[in-house]
Amino acid sequence: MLNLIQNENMKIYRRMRSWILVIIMVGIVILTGTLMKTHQAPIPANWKSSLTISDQSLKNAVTSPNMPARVKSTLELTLKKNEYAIAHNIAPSATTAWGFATTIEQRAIGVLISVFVAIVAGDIVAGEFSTGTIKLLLTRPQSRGRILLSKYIATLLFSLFLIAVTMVASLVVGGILFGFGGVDQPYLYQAASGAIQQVNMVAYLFINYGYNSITMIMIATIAFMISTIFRSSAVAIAISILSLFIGNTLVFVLSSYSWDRYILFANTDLSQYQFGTPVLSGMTLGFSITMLVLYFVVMNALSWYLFRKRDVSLT
Amino acid sequence: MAEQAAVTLQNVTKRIGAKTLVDNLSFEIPAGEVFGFLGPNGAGKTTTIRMMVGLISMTQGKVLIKGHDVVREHRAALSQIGCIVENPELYKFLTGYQNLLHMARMTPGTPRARIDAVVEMVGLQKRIHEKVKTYSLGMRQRLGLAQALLHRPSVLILDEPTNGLDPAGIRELRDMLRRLAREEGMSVIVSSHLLSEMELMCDRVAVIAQGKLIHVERVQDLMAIGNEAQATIFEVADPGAALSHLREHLSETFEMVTESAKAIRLTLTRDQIPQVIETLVLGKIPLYGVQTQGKTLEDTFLQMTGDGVIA
Ligand SMILES: Nc1ncnc2c1ncn2[C@@H]1O[C@H](COP(=O)(O)OP(=O)(O)O)[C@@H](O)[C@H]1O
Ligand SMILES: [Mg+2]
Repeated sequence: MLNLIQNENMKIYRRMRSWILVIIMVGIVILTGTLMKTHQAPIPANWKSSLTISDQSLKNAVTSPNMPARVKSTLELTLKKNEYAIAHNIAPSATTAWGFATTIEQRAIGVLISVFVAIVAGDIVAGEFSTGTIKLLLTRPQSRGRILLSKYIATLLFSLFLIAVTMVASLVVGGILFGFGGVDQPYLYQAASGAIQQVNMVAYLFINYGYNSITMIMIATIAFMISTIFRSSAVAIAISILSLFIGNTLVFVLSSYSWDRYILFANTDLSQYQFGTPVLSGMTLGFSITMLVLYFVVMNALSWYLFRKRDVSLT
Repeated sequence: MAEQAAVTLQNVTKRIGAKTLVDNLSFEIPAGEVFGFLGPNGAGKTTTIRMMVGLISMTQGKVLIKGHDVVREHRAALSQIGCIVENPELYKFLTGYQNLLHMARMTPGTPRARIDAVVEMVGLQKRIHEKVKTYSLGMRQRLGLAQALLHRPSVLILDEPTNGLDPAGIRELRDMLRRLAREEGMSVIVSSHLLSEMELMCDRVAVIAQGKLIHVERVQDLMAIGNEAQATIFEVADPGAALSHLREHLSETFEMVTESAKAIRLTLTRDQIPQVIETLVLGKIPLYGVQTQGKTLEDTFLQMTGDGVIA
């Protein structure tokens, strides 16, 4: 098995395309960082006093009796953040390496990693069919199941590599541009219950990547399944990237139907249960995890079945 | 039989929909034999080979490699096989060496030293660390052969290996296959749609057409099928003198005709031709050329596969 994974790794990393993906990723990190730095509004000298003034009106609003509870806790969150800023002498608009890395993960890199993983996952099976090299793999004394598994593992290893490279790149770029300070800063958020909670900035960065990995793994699984069905890299890559982009919109558009919650993409973002409110009311973490496991097992079982059973005849 | 055959096909059949691509094929190949799989395009050669190496399922029948069932004992059977199905398949973005490394990793127990050995065997030492992209067709074929031989298979299966080879390449391949069969006891299966290429390469050939096995025969015996009387023209300076010499010295009698001022025409079987030439030469009658007309071996083959029956 190790030998087969080694082979798949060789085919990924000896290929220009994989490195182009890595270079694009690092390029985007550098570009975003530079743009953020140059377009950053200067921090006004009197930011503390103006923050204190706005805090006063916030406090008034919070204590007002006819304020809805939901809005109230949002205001309280802002208040907490301001208080922290003043107490620790950190201007709210100031960014650190950790803050920068988290921001671009959420805004750009997170989705891009899934796109790039879809490209590699969609090609790693179907590509062997289009070049005919599948015949080499399947006429050796190895079961088809193991061949497929080795490709799946190699794809996930590549995703891990891509994540590591981007994380390191964004921390280095962020550190150079905004300084490495603030490791001990907390990230304040409002939990689903409405209570205000906090996690460490560094932990928050890793948690973000962790949640994003779930989407990434599901996209890789879709790409795998499509490529074993159609044996075409182009179709597999197109469908998996398309589902990545329209999946969430679809969940939003169909939210009036009760079966909407059974769509994969209503469940891929588990951070909704920690950092916010569920997209669809009545959904729980347990429900989403069950759905994710179900989709994962069914899609992989289908790929596995098709890959093992189908004839390989090419002309 | 006393000795186990290297390859056994029993009632191998492939149907797709209503179409029968391969119909009830059975034959055996002993170790050390070069076996030709002969048939026109679309006869079902590639389909049969795909079933033998486990790329496609069989509708019916079974294939045994050294006694191991290709379907039920996939690993044991496939570790005995080296094959090229249709084209040599290579990763163009890898070097020749990396392609072989990739292959070696898939067959447990292939030592690294074996890579160097096969590289030398196919004569690719100089370019082996260059990307396959830069290889010529001939070099790719050599690398494909190296891949197939890497794990010392006891059965080598090559589908139309002479496609795209020049006469020198064909000759080199032929010598190599004959040597592998003779020296290493390897069973070699070669498919082709050209009889002329099989004549010198194979010990035995199976002729198939429309998925059916028509004939399995030793090559010498197959050639005898073409041994029918046919017009043979001998170019000589003096046809009259030649004819009278032949009438005088040949024990058998033939239908003899003076063709023109410079040639005579005899109706002979293939076996009789050397006898006539010898008689002319011994009689010091200058012979400028010999031509046979009418049916050749190739015609016999075409007739066999075309009609589906032996002529
Ligand atoms: N996947 C397929 N589905 C249906 N028919 C096929 C398929 N593959 C090959 N054939 C048909 O099977 C026949 C045998 O093909 P093949 O084995 O490639 O012949 P050969 O290798 O002897 O030239 C041909 O008529 C071909 O058209
Ligand atoms: Mg063919």
